[in-house]
This record gives sequence, structure tokens and C-alpha cells, in this order.
Amino acid sequence: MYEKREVTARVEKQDSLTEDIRELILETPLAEDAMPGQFVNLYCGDGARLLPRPISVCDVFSGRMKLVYRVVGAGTAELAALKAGDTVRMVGNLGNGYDPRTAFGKDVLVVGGGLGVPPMYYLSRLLHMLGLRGGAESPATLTMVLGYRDEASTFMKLAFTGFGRVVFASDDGSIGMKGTVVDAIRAENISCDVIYACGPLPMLRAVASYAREKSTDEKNIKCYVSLEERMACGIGACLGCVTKTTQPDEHSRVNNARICVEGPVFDAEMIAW
Amino acid sequence: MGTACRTEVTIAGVTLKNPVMSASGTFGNGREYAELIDITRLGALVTKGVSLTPWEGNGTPRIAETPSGMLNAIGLQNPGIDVFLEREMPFLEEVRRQGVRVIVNVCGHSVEEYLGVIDRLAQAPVDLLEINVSCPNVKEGAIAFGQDPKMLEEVTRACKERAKQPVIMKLTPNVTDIRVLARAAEAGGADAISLINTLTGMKIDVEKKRFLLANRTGGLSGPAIHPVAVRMVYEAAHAVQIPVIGMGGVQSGTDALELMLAGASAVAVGTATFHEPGAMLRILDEMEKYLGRHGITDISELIGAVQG
Repeated sequence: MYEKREVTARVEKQDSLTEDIRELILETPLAEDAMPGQFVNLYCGDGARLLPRPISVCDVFSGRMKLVYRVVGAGTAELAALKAGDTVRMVGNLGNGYDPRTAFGKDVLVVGGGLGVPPMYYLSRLLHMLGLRGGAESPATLTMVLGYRDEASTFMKLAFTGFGRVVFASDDGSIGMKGTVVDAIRAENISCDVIYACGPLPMLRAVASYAREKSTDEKNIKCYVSLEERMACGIGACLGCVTKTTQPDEHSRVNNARICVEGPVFDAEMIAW
Repeated sequence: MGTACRTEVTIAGVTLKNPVMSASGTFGNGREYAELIDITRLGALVTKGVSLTPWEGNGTPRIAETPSGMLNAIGLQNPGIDVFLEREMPFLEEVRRQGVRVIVNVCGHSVEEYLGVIDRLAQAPVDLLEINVSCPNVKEGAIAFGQDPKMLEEVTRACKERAKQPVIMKLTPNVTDIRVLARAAEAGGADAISLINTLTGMKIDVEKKRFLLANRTGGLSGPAIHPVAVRMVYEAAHAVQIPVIGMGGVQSGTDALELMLAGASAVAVGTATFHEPGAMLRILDEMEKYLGRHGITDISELIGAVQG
């Protein structure tokens, strides 16, 4: 593992994927060692906005990092105004990320909902590559279930094609089946040994509960979820972004784990849902 | 660096190589930021608040951004003094060996809890204790001790009687007259006071009609509160004879020097670190440039030197 570091990244380009979703390509050495599920902190140029914006890594390729984020306020609006050649200060790579070893030889189900879709791209691509290589590190199967609000808010829809089977779900049925990602998993009767999920908290709760429900004495379905919370430092110093855990956390010694260090990816069994 | 100016300052007989220190709660126990910056350049490292037993802290969200500031309501989550001594102290001892003064921030719900932590620190390689009687985010104790002059004086006296290290009382700005509290801490025997802790604030999400923080209220910090800090440090420093450590929204060398001119012997930096991990080191550089530019040979000449 490389160390966390602060760098100034150069913007290669930025595109709109939907009305409020942006794709930012940065030229940064952080691309060399980012793992799927990790995130970076981007700092605003406007000093009145003090806190970094934590954004999950969507992909990395040849010294570039792709970030897909939603414009939700003045800070992300500032990021959205970045153009090719501009620079942005950032700290990375943060958090633990998904551990691909948990996928070796397994039937893998990747679940992304809304803004939880981007980090699942890098994870799915990595798992697909492991599959192509074959051998003991290859996942047995790879299925991806992607949930969106509706057709208009869909982005990265075709990006996962070729990695494995892709199933869509949307609130209004305008893309894929009408319903939640868990409705789609049930309807398609997708079998799995391990689930990786990122998305809104109610979705993660439902996915975790599905994994528990489908687990039997013979087959325990492992479920790993990526959580988010309002953060200040992003490196584990301020204790702003904690999640309730079922057991006392090794670092905090209370039932709170830091999302930015112990997470953002957690074994769903560790979370006090 | 590289200037002929003396940057040492002395607080309660403890000399710091420079007046810049971390503000409690914003820097963990130094370990996390040590991955990003050279923490051995700091004058002192002030730890996250330590209590007698592990504290869970508040629910989430604990953080909200505000214009030129932020609200926090962590609630002093910490693993307790036993884990602190076993796990954090060896790291802090190494930092101290490299010339950084170590200040442990002590919190409690009752006088007995403060004293319990103080006793456990008696043999620890710690230079100063900072007693947190000003956290706005915990229900019992803490701020209640810091808002009533009689209680503050009693807590201070109790801590002083037991402490093996000099005692700094950290004061809250959420009072009508800071001078009364500063004098109470001095009367109780405090070796120094530090201020300001955060200002109690609140933020509401208008779309959702909900509080942004789970705790409803939180402590406001950041550049937004800096002028309040300058005023209160000035008032407190002129009310007591003991040294004052100034803090509140410092994000530049100029901000730090402002607090020193107002009467602070040293300056803590907190929220600025969230915006820029190396903020304290840049602030130190900027202060040294100022000293060079003004031909000042000893930084302590600036303490309380505002005129007019």
C-alpha cells in the first residue's frame, strides 16, 4: 500500500452525464495505487468552503483518475466549473476499499444504486480482469445489478456491459424492472456467495437483510457495503464520520467505527443497522 | 525557518520551540496527520480530549459546513485513558523526543472523572494538561463547569491540587463576560488559560425541515469566529496575569499574530487543518516571514503588543 498524500491534480476534462451528474478526469499520481471502493478528498478553491468534498474513485487508467459525482451544492458546483488545464488540490487515497480476495472462486453480485454506481465500475472492471486471467483468483461468476430513479437520471448504463450479466432496476420501471435492486435480485433469482453494494442507506440495509435471509448453515452469503457520512478530515482524526457497529471497534473501543478509515467498506454484519 | 529570530515562547515554565500548536479535537493524537505532514515542526501537539472511560460521543451527522466555518457535535468520543496511555502515549513520547511539547486535553462529566484522568497521567511524559471545561456538545459536566465562575474556580483548584503537570483551563466563549471566567480560573490556581472553544450554533435543512446535526446544536469553528476570538483573547489577557493560549479560526500567519498582539502567548490551529493538512506549517512559515520583515528578534515581544 502507498501512503496517503496531498497532491495538486490537473483536470484533463469534465463532462456532464446527466443534468446533475459530472464525470471529472484528473491527471494525478494517486491513480497509481487507488483501490476500488476508496475515495479522495477534493478541496474547494473558495476559502469560505472549508471542508473537502469526499468523492469515490470511479476508475483509474494510465495516470488518470475518473470521478463521477453529483452537483448538490455550492462546493460541488465549484468543482463542476473546473475545465481542462485547471488544477485542484486533493488528498488520497482514502479508506479501505473492497478486498478483491473475498471474490476469489465466488459467485459475485455487485449492486450499485444511484450515486453508488460509479465506485462499482472500478470494482467490476477489476473483478472482470481477474476472471479473464483465470486460476484461483478468478471469481466464478459476476452479476451486476444497477438501480436508478428513472431513465432520465441514468448514467454509466452501458459501461458495465462486457464485464458479466447486467440487470437494471428503476423506481418507475423506465429502465429495467420496476422496483428496487433487491426486487430485481429476487425476480431474476440471482444466486451469489458474496455481495458488494454501494448506494443509499435504505438500499444497503435491504441488500444486507437479503444476504442474511438467503444465508443458510451450508452457505453464508458475505455482504460488503460502502457507507457514507458527512466528514471533516477524511483521515481518521476528527471522528466526524462514524457508523454504529454491533461490536466495540478496535480503534474507538466503543460501538462506533470511522467510515473514513475502518470503512467506507464494511462487512454488513459489523453494522448496527 | 532560517531566520535569526527567536520563536520560543514559555507557558507555565514550559518552553515551546514556537507558538503554534494543534487545537484539541482537530488533530486526533497526531498519528493520522503525521502521514501527511511533518508534525515535528509544531511547537506543541494538543491531543483529542481523554476521559476516564471510553465515550461513545453523539449520533451522526456530527459535521455541517457553514460559511467560512463548520459546526461539529462529536461529543468527545474517545477510547478512554487506559487505551490512550497504552496505545497513543508511545507515539506521543516519540514526538516529544523530537522537540514537540505534548499537551493532553482532559475531559470529564464530574470533578472525580477529571481527577481520575489527571491521576493516570501523573507519570506520563506529558508537558501540560489542558482541562476541557468548555465542550458545548456533551450533556453533563464540561461546559457547565466552564460557564459558572464559582464551579470553574473549584474545578480548577481540584485539578491543580492533583496534577503533576501545569494546568491550562480551556474556556468557552458562550458566556456573557469572559473576563469573569478568566479571573475565576486564575483564582483557582490555573497556570494558563486557553480560548476560545467553539461557539454554540445550529443549522437547519430547510428543504427537509430537519436539524443538520443529530445533536441539533454544535460548536462553530473556522475563520468565521476569528474576530470573536481576537476580542475575547484581548479581554481575557487583560483580566489575568497568567498566560493565554489563543485559538479560534486561525488560518494564516496574520491571524495567529493578531491573537498574539491581542495577548496570546501561543496559538492553536484547528479547523484550518481540515481545509489544508499542512496549514500549521504554512502559518509558522508566514509568522517567521513577518518577524524577518519587521526585524523582530524575539517573538515574545509581540505578546499583547497591540497599541492604541
